[in-house]
Amino acid sequence: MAKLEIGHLCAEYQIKKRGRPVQNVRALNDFSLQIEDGELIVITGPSGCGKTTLLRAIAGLQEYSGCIRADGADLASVPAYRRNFSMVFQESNLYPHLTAFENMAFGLQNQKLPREEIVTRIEAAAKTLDIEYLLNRRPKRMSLGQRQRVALGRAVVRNPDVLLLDEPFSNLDAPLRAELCRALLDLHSKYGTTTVFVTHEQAEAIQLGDRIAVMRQGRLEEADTPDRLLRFPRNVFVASFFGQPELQPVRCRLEKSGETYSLRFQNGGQAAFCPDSERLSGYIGKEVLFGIRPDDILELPNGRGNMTGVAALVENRANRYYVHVQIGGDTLIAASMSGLRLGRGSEVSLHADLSRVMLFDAGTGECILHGAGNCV
Amino acid sequence: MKIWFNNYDKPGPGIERNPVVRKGAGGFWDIFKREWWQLVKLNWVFLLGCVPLVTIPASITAMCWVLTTMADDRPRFLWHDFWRVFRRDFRRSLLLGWLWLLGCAVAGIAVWFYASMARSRPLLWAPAAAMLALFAELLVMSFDLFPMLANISLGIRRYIQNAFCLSFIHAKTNLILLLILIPLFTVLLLTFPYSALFLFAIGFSLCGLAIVYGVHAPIRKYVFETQEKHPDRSD
Repeated sequence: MAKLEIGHLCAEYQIKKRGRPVQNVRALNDFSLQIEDGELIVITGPSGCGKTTLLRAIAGLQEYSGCIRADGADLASVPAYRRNFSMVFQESNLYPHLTAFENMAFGLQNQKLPREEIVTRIEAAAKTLDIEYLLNRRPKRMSLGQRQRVALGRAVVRNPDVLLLDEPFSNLDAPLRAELCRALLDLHSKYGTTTVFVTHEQAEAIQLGDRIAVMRQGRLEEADTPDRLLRFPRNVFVASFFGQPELQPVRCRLEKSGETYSLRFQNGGQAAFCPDSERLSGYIGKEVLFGIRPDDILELPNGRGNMTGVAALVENRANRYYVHVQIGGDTLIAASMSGLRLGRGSEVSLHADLSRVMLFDAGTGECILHGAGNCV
Repeated sequence: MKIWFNNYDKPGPGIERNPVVRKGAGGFWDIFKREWWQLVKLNWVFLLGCVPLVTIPASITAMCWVLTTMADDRPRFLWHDFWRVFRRDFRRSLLLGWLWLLGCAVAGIAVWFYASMARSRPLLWAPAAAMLALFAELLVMSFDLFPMLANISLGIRRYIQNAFCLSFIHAKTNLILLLILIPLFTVLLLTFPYSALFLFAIGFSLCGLAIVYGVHAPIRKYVFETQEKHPDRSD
């Protein structure tokens, strides 16, 4: 186990055409993050944001500038094979001519460990991962899930300081993915290895991560616990990227009369509230972004809401209806009580839980308010 | 290229957690399909272990241990485990192996002696037949003796007693094994030196697998399980 410190990491890779480099892509751009000893951290972000490049840099497979330290020791001059890190890829990459047992033993044999210890370690990992019945089988007949279990086993039996997982379950169907996530949690609680898990699946990220780091364009946007990322995102990108259904920001103008603030939407609607924050005073009369999680704003059939809009689309997600509501030129997603009875273009009344409202700076996207205090 | 080579990225159908284990020839074929390359390697290691001749019994014992793991569908380090068992059981294999060989030699010579004398004195066919039965019994006892040596620690006398009893307990299996092995070795003798290729490639380990596959279940039932229940019974 090791504590990882990543500081000002920059990395580039070349796009080649017919063997010639045509473009340099900056995959990591001043990325900094500290990962505690024994922590399971999930790195997430949109495609192409540099998640895999980050893992490759930690593993020593990617050139970089900046620094990566494991327990205080700089890894810049340590080649990949000398770092005691294990990596599991999207494909299991098992040796096809070896059985699961031999695949798992391969790294340990190279470390010249006694055979008895190799067997003990493999049996323990196989028991945790529930792959004892696969040990004497070759990968050819194994399903994808079974292969990934073996690949995970192969990674953990080495007792690595850091376990790097690059979207290892992305090829699997949802139930199997959830099952393997549980197996990974078992492994983590048993071995306590510092684990960096890359995924773009939010369910996986929430299920696994002690902390979740959200990346965008090679930078770290925010790293925090799943709950805090949902409730108190640092900026509008994190707020809209993280959470299901996604939060969609709506432009509005912040106004003040006496002690009461109000949000004036593009469609003329208005919502008044009394915030505790003093930060809003600088935004009076300016455009801000209004954000609220779809589960915190409810479409009411009786028209007694504090906001209005026009229904654009109703969708069913996991037996709950959500309506996409047009407010001026923007769309907001709200939980719906009317469900499919709502027709496209019909006027809807929305009740927002203003204590869960987030306001963002329209220019920088930084969050300026979490929870708008009491509704007036 | 994928016309010629397997596509290893393609997922397989999955392996059942509790598959139905076939019995008899079907089960043997499943093991052979799964382990044929290991059998080839085991054959070479076995032949290497036999080179000093005096080590043949230890080599047979070590081979039986590896073959038991195949019959049980357990993983193994072939090279390492072979030599570990070879060293571990060397002395008692040597003792029992040469005792067995001596018994076979005495019985074989006695059969030849009485049979040649019986042409002039027909009454001597009786001891010749008795010696032949003894020879066959010693042969059949060896089917159980070496797998037991490899897998369980007992006193010398207990090994012999167990092998003797087991030869009658699973007499049907032994008979089938004899019916397979005697014609096979006759053919191999008749086709020598061409048959040496088969023996060098896989012959010994394949015959060993047939024997271990046949006798392992009774040994487990009557020796291992009894030993677990009554550990004080070993000498």
